[in-house]
Amino acid sequence: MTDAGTASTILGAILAGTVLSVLVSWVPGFHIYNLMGFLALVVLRLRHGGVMVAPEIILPAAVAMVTAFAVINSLPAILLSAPDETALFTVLPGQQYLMQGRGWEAVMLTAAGSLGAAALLAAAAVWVLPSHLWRWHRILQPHVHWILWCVIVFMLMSEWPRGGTRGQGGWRKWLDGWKSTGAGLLTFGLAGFLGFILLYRAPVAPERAFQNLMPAFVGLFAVPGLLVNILWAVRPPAQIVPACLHVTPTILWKGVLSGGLGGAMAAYFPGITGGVGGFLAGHAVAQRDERVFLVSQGAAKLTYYAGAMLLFVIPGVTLTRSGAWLISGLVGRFWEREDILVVSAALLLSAALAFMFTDLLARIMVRRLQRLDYRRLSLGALLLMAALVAGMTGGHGLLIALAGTGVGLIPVLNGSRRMNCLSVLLLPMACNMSGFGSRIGVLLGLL
Amino acid sequence: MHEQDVKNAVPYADRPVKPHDAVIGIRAMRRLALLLAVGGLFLLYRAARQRELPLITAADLTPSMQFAPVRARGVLLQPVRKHRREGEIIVVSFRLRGHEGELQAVAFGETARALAENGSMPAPGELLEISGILQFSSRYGPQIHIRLPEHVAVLETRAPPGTNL
Repeated sequence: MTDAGTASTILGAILAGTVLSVLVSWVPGFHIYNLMGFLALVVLRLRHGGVMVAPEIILPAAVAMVTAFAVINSLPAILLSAPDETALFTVLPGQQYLMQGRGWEAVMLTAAGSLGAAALLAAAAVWVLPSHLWRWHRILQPHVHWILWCVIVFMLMSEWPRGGTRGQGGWRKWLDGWKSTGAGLLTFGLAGFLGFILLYRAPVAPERAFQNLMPAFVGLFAVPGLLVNILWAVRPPAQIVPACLHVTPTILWKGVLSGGLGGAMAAYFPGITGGVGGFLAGHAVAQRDERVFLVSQGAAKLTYYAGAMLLFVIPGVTLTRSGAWLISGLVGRFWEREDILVVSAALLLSAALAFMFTDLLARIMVRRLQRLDYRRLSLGALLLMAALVAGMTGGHGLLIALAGTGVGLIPVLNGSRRMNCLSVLLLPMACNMSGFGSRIGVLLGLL
Repeated sequence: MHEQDVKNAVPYADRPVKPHDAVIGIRAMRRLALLLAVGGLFLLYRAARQRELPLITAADLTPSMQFAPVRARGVLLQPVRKHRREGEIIVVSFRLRGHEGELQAVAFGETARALAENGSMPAPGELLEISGILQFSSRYGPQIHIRLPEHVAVLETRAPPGTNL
C-alpha cells in the first residue's frame, strides 16, 4: 500500500464511497446498510464470475460510505422527519429547532458533532487503539453479558409512567399513566420475539441470510416514520439560515466527548446500536444545553458507525460489529497498522466532504421545505424500501418488514421510545451471552 | 453573539404549522398497528417453525450465507477436538468431509460440554447430520455453530466412502 497507484486507488475508493453515500443518504428512511448489502451481493456475483474486487477498494469505500451517511443522515432525520434508529433526537431538540424555523442550525450542529467525532476517532485510531484496545477488550469481554442487561434495564426504566396526573383516581387514570410505558414494554417484548425468530430460524433464503435483519430494521424504523409522514406530516414553518453557526468550543467539546463515549459503547458492545449510544449520551447532556445535545447526537452517530468499521481492522482484536458484518466476508484477512491509517484517512476525508455537502444540501432543502410535498416524497421512499426488501430477501422479507412495521408503529403512535425496537438485537444477544438463549429458542420451538 | 441576541435573531414557535388533511384517525391506526404487529409476528413465527432448514454442501458456501440457519451432512474423519480453559471444556470442533469439500462445525459452552461429557460425541467414520447457524470469519472461515447437542445426529455408524456433505 505504498506505491502511488495504490494510493490513488484508495483515494478513488474513498471519493466514490462518499459520493454514493451523498446521493442516497438524504432520502428519508434510507439506510446506507441497504445499499452496502446490495453492493456486497454485486461484489460476490462478480467474484463468482472471476472478477475480483480488491480489499484495498472495498474497505476504504465502505468506511467512506458509513461515515458520510452518519454526517448527512441528519438532513432527513431533522428536516424530513423520517429518522433512522439512531436519530432519537428528532422528537427532541432537532424537531423543536425545525418548528422554530431553525432547521439548518439543528442539522449543522449535529453535523459539527459528527465532524468533531471523526477527528477524535481518527486520533484514537492512530495513537491509542492499536496499542491499548486488546487490553481493554480482554478486561471487558467476560463482563459484556451483564453490561447488556444493565443497558436493557436502564432503557426500560427510562420509560417511566407519564400522564395520569389529572382527574379522579381509578383504573382509567392508572391506565392513562401507564399507556406510554406499557407501549414501550410491549414494543420491547415483541421486537425481542422477532429477534429470536430471525436469529434461530429466519425464513429467508440461505444465500441472502446476511440480510436477515435488513427487512426487520426497515419495518421497525424506516416504514413507521414514512407512514406517519404520509398520514399526518406537518408542514414546518419558513426556515432561516443565520450568517454563522452559534456554537462555542465548550459546547463542541462537551457534545463530542459525551456523544463519542456513547457512540464508542455502541460500537464496541454487541447488540447495542447508535440509538442506544445516542440515548446514553443524551442522558449525560440533555439537561444542560440543547446545542450540546444536538452536537452529542451527531458525535454518537458517527462514532458508532465509523467506530464499528475501525474495530474491524484493529490488529489483535478484529471485532465484527454493525456494518463490518457486511464486508467481513469480502475483505477477510489479517490486518496491519497501515490498514488503520487507510481507515482513518477514509474517515477524515469523507467526514469533511460530507460536512460540506450537508451544508449545501441543508441550504437547498430549507429553502424548498415549504413547497416540499412530504406525502409524495415519503410515498416514493416507501416504495423504494419495499422494492429493496422484496429484491434482497423476497416475499418472506416483506412479511418480516410488515411484522416489524406493526411493532415499530406502536411506540410512534403511543408516545413511547422507538429505541425499544432495538430489542430485536439486544434481547437475543443478551440472552445468548448469558448462556440461556438456546433454552428460550427450544421453549419457543425454534431450535 | 450573546445567546439572547441569537434567540432574538431567529423565529420561534409562533409561526403557523399547517398539518396535512388526516387520512386515518390515530386511534384506528393504533389498533391497526397492534393487529399488524401481533398478526404479522404470529404468521412469521408459524412460517419459521414449519420451515425445514436447508441442507447445504461445501460447494454451496458463499459469504452471503452469513447467519443462515442450515443443515449439513458429512463423514467425520478425525476425532472431535476439545478445547479447554482451566480444565473445563469450552469449545468442541470437528470437520465433516465429502466429495465437495470440508466443513467445520463448532459448539460452545454448555453444548460443547454436553457433547463431550454425555457420551454423545461422534466417532470418526460416522456419517453425521448437523444443524446450526453458519458463520464466516476472517480467522476461521465458514463454520456451523451448533446450538444444542441434539443437533448432532449420527445417520450411519460406518459411512460409505466418499459420501458428500
